Amino acid sequence: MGQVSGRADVHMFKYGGLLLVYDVNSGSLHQVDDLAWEAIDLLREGSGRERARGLLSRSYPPDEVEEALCQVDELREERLLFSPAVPLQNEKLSPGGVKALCLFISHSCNLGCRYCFARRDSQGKRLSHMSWEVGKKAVDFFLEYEGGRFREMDFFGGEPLLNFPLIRDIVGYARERALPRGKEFSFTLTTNASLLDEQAIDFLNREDINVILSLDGRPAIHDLMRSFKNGLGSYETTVENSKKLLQGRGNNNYYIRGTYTRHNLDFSNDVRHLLKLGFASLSLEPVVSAEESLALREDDLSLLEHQYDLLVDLYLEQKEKGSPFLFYHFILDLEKGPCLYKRLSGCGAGLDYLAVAADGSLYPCHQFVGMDEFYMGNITAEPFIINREVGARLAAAAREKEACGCCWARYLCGNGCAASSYFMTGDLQKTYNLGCALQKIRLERALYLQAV
Amino acid sequence: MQHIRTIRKGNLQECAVQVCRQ
Repeated sequence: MGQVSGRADVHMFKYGGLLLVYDVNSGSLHQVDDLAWEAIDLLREGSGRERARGLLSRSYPPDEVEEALCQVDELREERLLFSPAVPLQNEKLSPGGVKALCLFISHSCNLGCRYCFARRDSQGKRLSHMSWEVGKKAVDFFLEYEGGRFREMDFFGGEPLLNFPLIRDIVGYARERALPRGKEFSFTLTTNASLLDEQAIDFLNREDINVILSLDGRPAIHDLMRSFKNGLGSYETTVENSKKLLQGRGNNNYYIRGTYTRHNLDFSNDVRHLLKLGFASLSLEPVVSAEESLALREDDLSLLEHQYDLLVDLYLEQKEKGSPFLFYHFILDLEKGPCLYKRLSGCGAGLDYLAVAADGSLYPCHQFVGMDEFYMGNITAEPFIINREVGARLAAAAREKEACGCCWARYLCGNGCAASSYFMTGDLQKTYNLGCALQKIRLERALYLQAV
Repeated sequence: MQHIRTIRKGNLQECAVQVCRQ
């Protein structure tokens, strides 16, 4: 499965018995027969129409060859195949405003997860909980800084529910201030679910707060990675509280967000387990860690690829049964997707996406929090001056990754993750090869699922 | 005979890459 013959502007691959052609510059997807496959491949490799016709006529009836080439011509005319590159303006690649802000409501946590990237931060030198003064300043900064109508705020940590009253206060204040300014907020809480009591559940459901619930799958896998400070596993508590929360919101506006590591290279079984528990909105992500006992290796790629094949089968099986589920990496909208400027800046770390530590320090994203090299200022400073050079450095590094410019997935992968590059290769400009390979594996399967 | 079936016509030729609100 997954036989690939990729080129920069027309990607051809075989999957699940289908011959698929993805036109990079238009975002169009075509299913072809053997003759059209060979014709497109010849044209893609530089053969002219007449030469292609001559070569193909050795194996296929000439009238059918002409028919297939005419169909290619029509699609070329419609700019759906071999479409031209869209010209880009450099200044639009770096937005001036801020659209998304991640708040470290608390740097403390009641769990001690083995892969948590919050561990990178030297916790001792900073405040544990964000104060109301800093939270209020963050909202003020967010609303007063330039940017569009829609604002996204993520409550993060540590475990943000350790400082639940602040979340409640920030939501009320932000909504009150946004309304007269014509801005709209959406809020997301990322939580281990262990502190979801009746009061928190009622608030989150009443205020329509999106939730990301950390749950890795099977009990033994989850508990191996995610234990309380006393060593006891958190699986039972997480599942019980997550179900309570979701019952109160009609099972909407949530994702179960798991992480897979070397300990569960058979992670499709964890997805199966999550489905059995009744969860149907799932995001299972490969660990980004250099710790040997957890880290994924390039040698694991064929195993991991097979797991994504099993996920495709499961996805179709559930759809057939009338119990479909959402898998984050299989969601792909080719007809309504964002413009190239967004596609090339991905999450927008350091540009339109920023993270605020509990003491008000600003960083390009949640993974860089606490790292002096990426410090962008403090929102409590008077006057507050944001160091935009850090974001520009991240954006420039992403643009200068050599392999990306001629990759078929360049408008679908968001240009990779700056933090993954930095933590896994030590260089913002280097591609994290394993993450990149997994992304392409998932994208081919997401494209295939569009065709069936 | 149809040799090519277009599955999706891409649109490229304020948005746990989303759709373009514009």
